[in-house]
Amino acid sequence: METGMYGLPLDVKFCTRCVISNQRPRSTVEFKSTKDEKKETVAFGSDGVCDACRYAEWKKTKIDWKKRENELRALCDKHRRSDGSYDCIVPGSGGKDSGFTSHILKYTYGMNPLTVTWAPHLYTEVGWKNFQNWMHVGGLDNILFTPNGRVHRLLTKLAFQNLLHPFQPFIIGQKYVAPKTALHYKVPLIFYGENQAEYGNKIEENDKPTMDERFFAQDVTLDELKLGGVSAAELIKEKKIFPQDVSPYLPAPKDEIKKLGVEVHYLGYYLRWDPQENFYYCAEHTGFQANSERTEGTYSKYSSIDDKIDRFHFYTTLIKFGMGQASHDASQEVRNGKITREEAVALVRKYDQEFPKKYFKEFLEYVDIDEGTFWKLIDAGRPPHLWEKKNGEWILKYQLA
Amino acid sequence: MAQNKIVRVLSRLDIKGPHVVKTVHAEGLRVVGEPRVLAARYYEAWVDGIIYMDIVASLYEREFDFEQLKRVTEGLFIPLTVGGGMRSVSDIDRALRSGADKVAINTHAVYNPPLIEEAAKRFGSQCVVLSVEAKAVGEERWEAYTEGGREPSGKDVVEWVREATARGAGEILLTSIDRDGTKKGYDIDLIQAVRAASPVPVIAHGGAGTVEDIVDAVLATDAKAISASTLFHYDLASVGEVKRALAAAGVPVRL
Amino acid sequence: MTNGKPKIVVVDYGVGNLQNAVSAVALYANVSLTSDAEEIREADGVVLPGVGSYPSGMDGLTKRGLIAPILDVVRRGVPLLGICLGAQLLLEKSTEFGETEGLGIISGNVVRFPELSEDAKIPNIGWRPLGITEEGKDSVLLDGVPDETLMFFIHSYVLQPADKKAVLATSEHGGYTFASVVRKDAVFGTQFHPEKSGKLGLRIVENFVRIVSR
Repeated sequence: METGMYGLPLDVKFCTRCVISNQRPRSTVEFKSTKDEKKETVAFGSDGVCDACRYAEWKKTKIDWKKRENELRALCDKHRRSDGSYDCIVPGSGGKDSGFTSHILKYTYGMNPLTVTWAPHLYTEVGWKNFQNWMHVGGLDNILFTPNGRVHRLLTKLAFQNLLHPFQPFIIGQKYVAPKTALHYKVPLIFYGENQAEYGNKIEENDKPTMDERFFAQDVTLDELKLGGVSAAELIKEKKIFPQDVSPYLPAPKDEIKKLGVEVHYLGYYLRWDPQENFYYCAEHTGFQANSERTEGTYSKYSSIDDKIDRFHFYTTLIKFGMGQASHDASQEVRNGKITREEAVALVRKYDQEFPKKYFKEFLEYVDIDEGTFWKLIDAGRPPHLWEKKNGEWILKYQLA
Repeated sequence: MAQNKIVRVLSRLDIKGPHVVKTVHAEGLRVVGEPRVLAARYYEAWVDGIIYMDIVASLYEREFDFEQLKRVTEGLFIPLTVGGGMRSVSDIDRALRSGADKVAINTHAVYNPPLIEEAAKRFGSQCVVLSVEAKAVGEERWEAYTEGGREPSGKDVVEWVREATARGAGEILLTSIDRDGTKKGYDIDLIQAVRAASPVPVIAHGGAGTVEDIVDAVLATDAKAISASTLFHYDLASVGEVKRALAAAGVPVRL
Repeated sequence: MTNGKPKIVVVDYGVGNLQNAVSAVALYANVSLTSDAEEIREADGVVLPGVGSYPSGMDGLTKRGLIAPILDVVRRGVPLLGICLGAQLLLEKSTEFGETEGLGIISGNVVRFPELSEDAKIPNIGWRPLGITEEGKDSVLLDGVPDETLMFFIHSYVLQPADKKAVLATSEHGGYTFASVVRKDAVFGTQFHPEKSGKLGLRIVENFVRIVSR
């Protein structure tokens, strides 16, 4: 089958239930990402319904949540420590999802979580406040890991230049900080919030409570490890980074993971996952505050609000796949029954293509790129089967209807 | 007799489609009930008025559902304030014809302040309510937000209230975004600041979690009208309990 | 009269808020909402509701050719109930937005509230007690409505009837007393909204229907 740029299907289709299109990639093993890789995209059924919606439907009707909760209790009973040491690791930013996960595990299920945070590139004011409240109001212990800023900025710059994916180094580091913390503290149980299938991965991957080990534990050489599309070995050779700078981006070693018996579980497997309800929960229990104004590129005030650079993650997904943050947020809310498809369409049309002006200058400074180069890279990253230029303006060929 | 100082206790229904929803910090769309059921419940409990707001009409850029309004308010013989996506004098007219006594405008008053004058001239100031969603932005300063509490308008709340009342708004529906849905009590400073600046009545809203919150706010600000959503929709207290507590505190209410 | 109930028309003259008036009357009588002169002339009773400015009220009546039929039914002694703006239009004139002539059925004028105290804002919005006068105590309209009953008001202008006897009840705002229920023969006016004042407001509507049925 012929594919377009990024290996995307040439024939653009929108899900008939939510508002994502078939251009949406599935999650990948990020550290393998290179410029020329072909993305695997979310699957659509012959009825035009995407896998994520299908899963949401299945979740609503086919799951015995009482049974699942009992499984959670059993899992917690197995791991719970009463000697004051930590018995589970909960990675996150202190936003609504990790806030919910950590707090409910501690205060309802009697666990003793250690939360661990891979620092955002640039904290927003509301993000920092929510992060602090997570501990001070929510009552959790936390380790904040801030990677070497100079290295992280360089990698982010490379990721933006080479992959048009500035968030890649963040995603890599964030994914591995929990398993490595687990090894360090000798705590084998890790809880994530949601399974990526919520966002369109294979349904088969959803039917188990645990994350596949290949996503967080690998033995990888410095040649194999690609950061911002460049191998770590090359970066070291060119003296862009020291060998020791690589360590935060390395996945956890397989043998150590096996030895400790580390397992990553999704709380969303055991408890019905509803991000909006997580917001209400956290507003009540962890001092979480929604942002005062809506986030640029979407209508929401509580989704991904802690990192100034986050807007550019979603802006690049808009450029590469035709979908920005509004598409992401709206699709999720359709699946969770908060809004109708019609309402989602109205929101996507209104906000999805909004340029994130507020932190643009800061972003350019952060990645050390001038505005001209920024636009050159952006425009070069627009798949021709998605974008066309009309009257000097770039417009999406396929608009949501 | 100080009967003139009767304090109105109102209930506010935030409407999205066929549901009543409840936000926190003007965010979230959690369904808490059916409009007709809740409105009737409060009417039977002698609530002094219902505020019916479509909180997504401006955000989704869609029409207010007047037919639903009529269905929900049929047979409720108490004052009704209606708002949400009111763009023009003809929208306001339609709302009044559909049972509203007063129409609240926010987003479109901010985008088009002459709308206030137009409406006041056509229907009388008493029909025009300025809805203000206020977010604290500093010491004793608040900014007005539009589009369901999502867009900062750049307008200082106190100044905006002065301007809007000069243009003919006959009442202010004042909501604290910071307290909305939090059950942490009303923003007393905000209410006092706006009451001082407004020549017209102010309805205080946002933050009630207990009966005491209402009594405290009324006693501290001397507000003549107070409204709650979370408190009533989540059944944390009844209209009757609130009124009895106010009466016990020496506040005249309609019992 | 049909099925034992009188036919009452609620006049639609283009100034909003009619639903409750219609629903309230419908509880006790056959009701129709109309701007048809003939229908008004043939009714057993007339309700003149209204919300808005005086000039737009008179304009609305004029445009629809309703002034003559209303004066006609009043002349014939058909009971009429004016509510809020509707009550104000019954008087001779108002000073809202310049001077406007009213229907002149009840002598007196409509004027704006004077400057009141800090606490008493204008419009007068809220529940105010009725101070029922001697005339009011005998009236059928206020039968079963205790003195000091709270009714819902929302207005910036007040009724000032020339004849004290025309006042069935007064109310107060900011220390200023004004007429809240007025009457001349079978024509009644309430400054407040009985259709918005809960159960006791409905009692007034019921009483009006009784008057129509006599």
